[in-house]
Amino acid sequence: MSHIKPFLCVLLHPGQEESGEGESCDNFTDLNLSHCFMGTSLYVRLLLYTRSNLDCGRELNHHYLSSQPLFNLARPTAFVIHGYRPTGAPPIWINHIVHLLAEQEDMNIIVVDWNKGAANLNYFTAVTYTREAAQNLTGFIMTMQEEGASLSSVHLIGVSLGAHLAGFVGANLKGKIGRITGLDPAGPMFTSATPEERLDPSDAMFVDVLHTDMNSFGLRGAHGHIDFYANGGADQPGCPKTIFAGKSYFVCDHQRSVFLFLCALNRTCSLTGYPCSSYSDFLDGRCLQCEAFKPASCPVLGYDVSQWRDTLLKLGETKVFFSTTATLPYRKLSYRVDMVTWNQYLRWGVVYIRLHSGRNFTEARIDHKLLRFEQYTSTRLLAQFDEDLQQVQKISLRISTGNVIGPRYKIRLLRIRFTPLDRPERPLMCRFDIIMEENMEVAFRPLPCNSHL
Amino acid sequence: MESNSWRRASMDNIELLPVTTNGNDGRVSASNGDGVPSRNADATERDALLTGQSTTSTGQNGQMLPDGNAAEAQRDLENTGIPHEISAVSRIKGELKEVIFWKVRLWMVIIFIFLLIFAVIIISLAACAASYKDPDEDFDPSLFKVPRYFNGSFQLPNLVFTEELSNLSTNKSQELAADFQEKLADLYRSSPALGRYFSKAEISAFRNGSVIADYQLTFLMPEEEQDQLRNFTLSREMVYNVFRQFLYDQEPDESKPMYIDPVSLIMFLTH
Repeated sequence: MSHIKPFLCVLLHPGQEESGEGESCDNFTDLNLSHCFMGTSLYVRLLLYTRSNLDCGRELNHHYLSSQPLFNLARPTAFVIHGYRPTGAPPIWINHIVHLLAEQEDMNIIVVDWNKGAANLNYFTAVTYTREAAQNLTGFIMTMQEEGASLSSVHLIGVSLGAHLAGFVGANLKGKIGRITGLDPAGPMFTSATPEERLDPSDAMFVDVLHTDMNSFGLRGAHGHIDFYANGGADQPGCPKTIFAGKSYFVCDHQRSVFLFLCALNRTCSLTGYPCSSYSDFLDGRCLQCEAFKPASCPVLGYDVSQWRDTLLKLGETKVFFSTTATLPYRKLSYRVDMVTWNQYLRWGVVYIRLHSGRNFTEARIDHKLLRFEQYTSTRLLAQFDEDLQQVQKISLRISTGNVIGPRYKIRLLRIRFTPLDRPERPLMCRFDIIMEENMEVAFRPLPCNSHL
Repeated sequence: MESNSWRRASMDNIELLPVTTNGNDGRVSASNGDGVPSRNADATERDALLTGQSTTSTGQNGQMLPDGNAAEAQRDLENTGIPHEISAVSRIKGELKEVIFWKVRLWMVIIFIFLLIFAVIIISLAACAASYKDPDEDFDPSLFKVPRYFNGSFQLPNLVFTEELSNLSTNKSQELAADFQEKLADLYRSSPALGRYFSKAEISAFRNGSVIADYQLTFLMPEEEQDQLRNFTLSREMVYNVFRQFLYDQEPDESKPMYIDPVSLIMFLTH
């Protein structure tokens, strides 16, 4: 192996290209499968991007920060740390995240390029390199501190293995870093890790984590002050269910965490997480209270956490849940639906709701479990619609009890009420005195629930 | 039928005709000629079935019965050497036919029984479903004795208030009151939840303010489960909203004289 390395170094000319002004841009190291096959040794490059050089990275010297005039230590600094690179290719989202972060705030964005090290067929080698890379990065941040930067203005954004790497950096700096964002922290080799051996809330003043693939490449459990679980944190909608889909079968769920975060940075999707003990409780509509965060709403995934930060630090580790659609803009529109029946006998069923606006409609199927309809008792459910219809003109409702033989039961509703959760400014919709045969759809015009009762 | 049997007979005739060349001309053709007009289809079939048996009795001694029919005679002539085999084969055939017939019958019976059981199940299920009495539709109005009153008012923006309307004894106001009483009664009677408890609706006065109508609703409820009815089905919220919903659903034609402004609806529970 050792005789190959010098040869590699000759081949691996750091990706440099001439920009228009004649100054050279430093790009993310591009490796290919053969490098991964042979293995790479760790080499950490720090590529600086600011609002004035968004498309042209500048490699920073680890020790002489002043050699790069664009690096302004008075501004906050965000580090973007990628994870394991089994193919050696640069992550497709690097440019994207740099641009979106620059939109949030005028800051230094440093892409931590440890592709040499992360690009390995052997995952375990990459895992051992995280410690070394973390040491390297810790040294750099300490230099920053010596030069006058404040640790609290440092934000580490780590993807997969990069999330643990960020955690190690945070631990090395005794948790004084401002914030660590972990995007689906890597699971393999970390499942039985102690908090010191992985990302945990003590690594920074504020740690927020997004989970999308806990059942394969992601890590189960809670690792931050706030843990967002997209669709329960495991299988994501729109991701292939079988191996026949090829590469995306493996990476789709895991990569979704990055896309959700990008989408949140872009503000095209506002994904509100509801604090809950489990995803099934969330789906049952049992966790739709946001009182703890008043006057703010429930936490929204994204860059700006200032509204919730103090509450979350007080609450301790909080798990929040939300559902998404399969594609951009990922957000679902949720309504809390309360129904009261007057049937003498208990009935069980699943509910299908459609909202109509003109010729458009959107459907929610609340069929993950049978709902209980008891006389004079409110049945609460969470209806999540893929589309956000501005003005709901008609609602159609169908209840199925799953009865194949026997009489067709009737469900008698005293009242049904729709509370828009994501848009508190919209009116509550009500309907009273509905009688419906099972499996038959009833359509009605909702009326505003009168508040002056 | 007649023509049919005739055709069959002539078929026999055609079949037999070439045989006549075998020698025994006179007899066969004679008997044939005799048989044709008198035979019917049944006779022909029976003859065909009987041949086997009759040959066993007659063919053994190589004799021909004088009154044997044409076919028999002809067959004997054709296969003089193997009368035994013919008889055995046809006997087996006969037996086989019989056994198969019985088996078919047996398994048809079994299928029939199954079908019957199935049909009985289906019919009973259908009967059960048809005769299912929804416990929620089963109630005894004679038990509904405890009254519950609601009072309130609504505004009729398209009517002009006159002195005539203020006095409920005038014709015009009585007519108008009757119209609204009917409207209210219809709306509550057709309500699935409230219909059974509804007793009457009265318009008690028309007041100035374009026109404001005061009304009273009376519901009757059973002694038992009174509390739950008060809290849910016959709550003010429910009675009020059933009315309000009706007003929201009405034709959005706001120029009609009977138009009630939904926002103006007020309702109180009267004790």
